[in-house]
Formats: sequence, structure tokens, C-alpha cells
Amino acid sequence: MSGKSIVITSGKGGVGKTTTTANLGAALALEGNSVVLLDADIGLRNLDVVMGLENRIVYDLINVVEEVCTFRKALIKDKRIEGLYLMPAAQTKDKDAVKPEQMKKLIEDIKAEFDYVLIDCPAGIEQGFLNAISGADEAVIVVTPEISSVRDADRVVGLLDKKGNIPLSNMHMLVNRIRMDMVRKKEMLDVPDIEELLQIDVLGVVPDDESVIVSTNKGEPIVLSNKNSVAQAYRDAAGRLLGREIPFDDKHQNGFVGAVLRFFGLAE
Amino acid sequence: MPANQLRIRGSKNGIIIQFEEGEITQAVVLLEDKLKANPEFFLGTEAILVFPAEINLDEDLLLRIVQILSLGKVKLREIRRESGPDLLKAETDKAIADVSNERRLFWVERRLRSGDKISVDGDLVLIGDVNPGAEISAKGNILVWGSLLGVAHAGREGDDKARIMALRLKATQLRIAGHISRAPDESLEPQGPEVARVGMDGILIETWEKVAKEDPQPFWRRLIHGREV
Ligand SMILES: Nc1ncnc2c1ncn2[C@@H]1O[C@H](COP(=O)(O)OP(=O)(O)OP(=O)(O)O)[C@@H](O)[C@H]1O
Ligand SMILES: [Mg+2]
Repeated sequence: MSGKSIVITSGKGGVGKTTTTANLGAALALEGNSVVLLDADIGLRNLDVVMGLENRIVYDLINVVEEVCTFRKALIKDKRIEGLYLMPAAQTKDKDAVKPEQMKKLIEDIKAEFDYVLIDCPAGIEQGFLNAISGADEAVIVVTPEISSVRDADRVVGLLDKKGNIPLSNMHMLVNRIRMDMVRKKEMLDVPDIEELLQIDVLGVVPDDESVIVSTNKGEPIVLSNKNSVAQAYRDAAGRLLGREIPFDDKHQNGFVGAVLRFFGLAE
Repeated sequence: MPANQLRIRGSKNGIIIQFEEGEITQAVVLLEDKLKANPEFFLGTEAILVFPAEINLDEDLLLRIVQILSLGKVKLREIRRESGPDLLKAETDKAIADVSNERRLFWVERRLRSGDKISVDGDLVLIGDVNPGAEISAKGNILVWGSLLGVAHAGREGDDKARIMALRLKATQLRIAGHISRAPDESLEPQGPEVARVGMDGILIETWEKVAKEDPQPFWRRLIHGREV
């Protein structure tokens, strides 16, 4: 078996890479795929916290790279979702502790046994970024509807194309934290505006919602909850990654229209 | 003539006019016919042209298409190549033609993203967009067949006769020789292709039609035929 490796990246920090890695990965696993979430944010790991698996870390990625243990041994199995695993980053080392070739080899090894490897990339475009993208076949670029985020995403797309050897056709963007009420008032960039600049396909559009913070604090992927617009957006994104045609809709609206629709039971 | 030489479809960013491999001049005639047959379908829309990688583009062809589109009140927004990765990553600082001893023409086909930079010792023709955060500079004139949203510097070594033209001129900053103009804080959407040049009070921007009317041999024409500007 040879799986697919996908790096979740953005350039700009704090736009939702870790949240996306956790939820996209969980959604793929819920569809019956075997998935490894690989935390490449060495020194600032938090995928384990978001997944609620922090207290079970014994070995980490650096131990594997330094051949202290096998990668199998370092993997933490998620108890809630069948087929979902976490490869934690080291918290006490810095970014230079791994080299791109080592990362590549590790990802190849994991791909031989799993369907998907989702790589949570650190912010920025320095060494940590170069490590994280080195073994990726595809990329999901997380972008929020802000000029600075779009600008950084554009830079990252250019770098992935040149340095990462990931063709444009294997890059997807995920627009996070959109607020349709603000888009309608033209106070926020809309998805087509972002698409026009980046010119890569849209994998998903995730609304801004405080339930994300709640689930992060609980250490539970949000896709586990049924009636939630963020969860639905991530499930849809996973479906598109699996090659399904899933239309984008405006059903999950915030603001006044959304409230009216919800009141009449026309939207969640 | 096979009907599949030209495919036209709507998209949320405008109409996509896709040329297929084969005799391009025939496809251009076909486009003209379609525009005349269904003017209301095209009226006031924006068009994206897509060419297969095999077709050699030249400016006469592009200018002809622009003319046809503008007669039908269609705004040409973007030119795209259906290109393999090779074309996209092609070395850019290579002159495609030594049009004269002093002046070289650089023909570049790619989208410049934030952080990308191209600088040439001659005139620059770019097929693609210049995104915000990208920079282009030329010793001579600059022609962008796409959206110019980043920074452009023409006449880099002091030629204040140099000009900058773009299908959609919405640059963060324009420089010609030593003159600088930056985007107004509330920048409006340009109504069509525009040209920037140095006037009495610094850089001014005019419509391409106006420049073409006043000057029967505008710089882009001369660029094409390789004559001295
Ligand atoms: N759709 C959303 N709605 C509301 N809050 C969100 C959403 N997505 C992410 N957040 C919040 O934004 C913050 C940053 O998210 P996250 O840690 O996933 O970003 P990141 O890109 O991984 O950051 P870093 O660059 O630091 O690694 C978190 O507090 C998270 O809960
Ligand atoms: Mg993170």
C-alpha cells in the first residue's frame, strides 16, 4: 500500500493549521481510512493537546528520526476514532533537530502502511516549513479572509511550487473563519476574491465559530459532533479530498439571515 | 471547420474562452462570429482566455483578440496557459528575441506570486498576473497581459519615456525612471486596459484606447515589431 501525504500549511501563524490537521484527519478516519497526524511543529507542538492525547506521549518524532524507537512505537492510537493515529513532535528540541531527508524517509515509511499522512506545518517559511513540506505529495493551504493571510498563502503557493515540487494541481485551499454576515456587508473578503488571487481549487470553507475553541479545550475533534457547521465543513472537505463532488452551500450562515433560517428550521 | 476549436463557458469570474490545439487564426474568426451572433451573452462581461501550451502566442494575435472583445464590450481580464509545470517554471530571464542591438524583448509566461521578482534588461512582455507582493522591473517598457497588482518599474535606468501597460492596472506602486506613484487608498476597478507614462506632473494613467488614438504607433505595437521606441 502507498498512502498519500498532505501538508497543512499557511505561512501566516494562527490561522487554523492545527485545527484543520486534527479535523480533516479525524474526518478521513471516520470514513474508514487509516490516518497518521504528524506534528511537524517541533518545539511548539500542540496537535497532541488539540487531540487530547498529550498525556499519552512516550516517544516523539525526534526519537524516531534518531532511531531510538520505530515509528510504530511512537504512534499514539486515538481511542475515539478507529484508524486515527498521532505522531507527536518533540517539545524540547528545536527545528534543526531534523533534516528534510529524514522527514522524507519517515513519511515514506508511514505511507507504506497507512492511507493518509497529514503533516501539521509550523508557521513561517523557514527551516521548519521546509522540513514539513519535504515529504508531502499534496498541500492544503489554510487561509483566513484577511489580506495578510492571503498574501502569505500566495507566497507559500509560490514556494511549494518551486521548492516543494508540489504541482499546482495538488494544492488546495481551505478558507477558515469565514463570516458570511461580514462577507455580505462587504467587510470581509469572499471566497471568489481569494480564489482569484491564489488560483488553486477550494477544498473547503469553514465558518468562524466559537465551538472550535470549546472543542480544542476539551481535546476532542469537532467532527465528532453532528449538528455543527464547522464539523460539516470539515467532513465535506474530507469528502472532496476523497474525490467526491460535494457542492458548496450557504446553508450554514451566521448573522441575521442565518438566524431567521435557523428559526424556521431551514438551516442548522 | 471543427466546432471544438473554441470552447466558451461561464464561470463565476467571467466567461472562459478556451482555444484548442490547431489553427488559431480560424478559432479567432470563430470567436468573432460568436460574439456577433450572441452579443447579449457577452455584453459587459469579463473574459479569461485559455490557450493550450502548444500554441505560440504573439502580440498581433492578442491585440486582434482584444479588438474583437472590446467591440463586443467584453473586458479581457486574464490570459492563461493550459501549461505543464515546465512552462510555469521556465527560466524567465531569457530574452526570446534580440529585436535590435540595443533593445531586447523578454517574453515571460507565468503568474508572479507574492515574493517573486523579475528584472530584465530590455522590454518586458508578461503573460499572466502580477500578484500583490510581486515585483517586475525592466530597462524599457512593460506590458502585462493580465492584472498588475504588485509593483512595476519601467525605465529602470532612467528612461522616462518608458511606459507600463496592463489589462488591469491596479498596481500597489508604479515607477517609471525616477518617478513613483502609489495606489490611491480607495482604488477603483479600472474599466479597461490602461497605460502609465510620465507626464508634466509625474506619472499619469490613461486608457489604452486614448493612447492608441493619439499615437498611431503606440509602444506596444513597436514592441511587437521590434522597432526602436
Ligand atoms: N473556524 C474557527 N472558528 C473559531 N476559532 C478558530 C477557528 N479555527 C481556528 N480557531 C482558533 O484559532 C486559534 C489558532 O488555531 P490553530 O492553532 O489551529 O492555528 P495554527 O495555524 O495551527 O497556529 P500556529 O501557526 O500557531 O501553529 C485557536 O485558538 C483556534 O481555536
Ligand atoms: Mg499549529
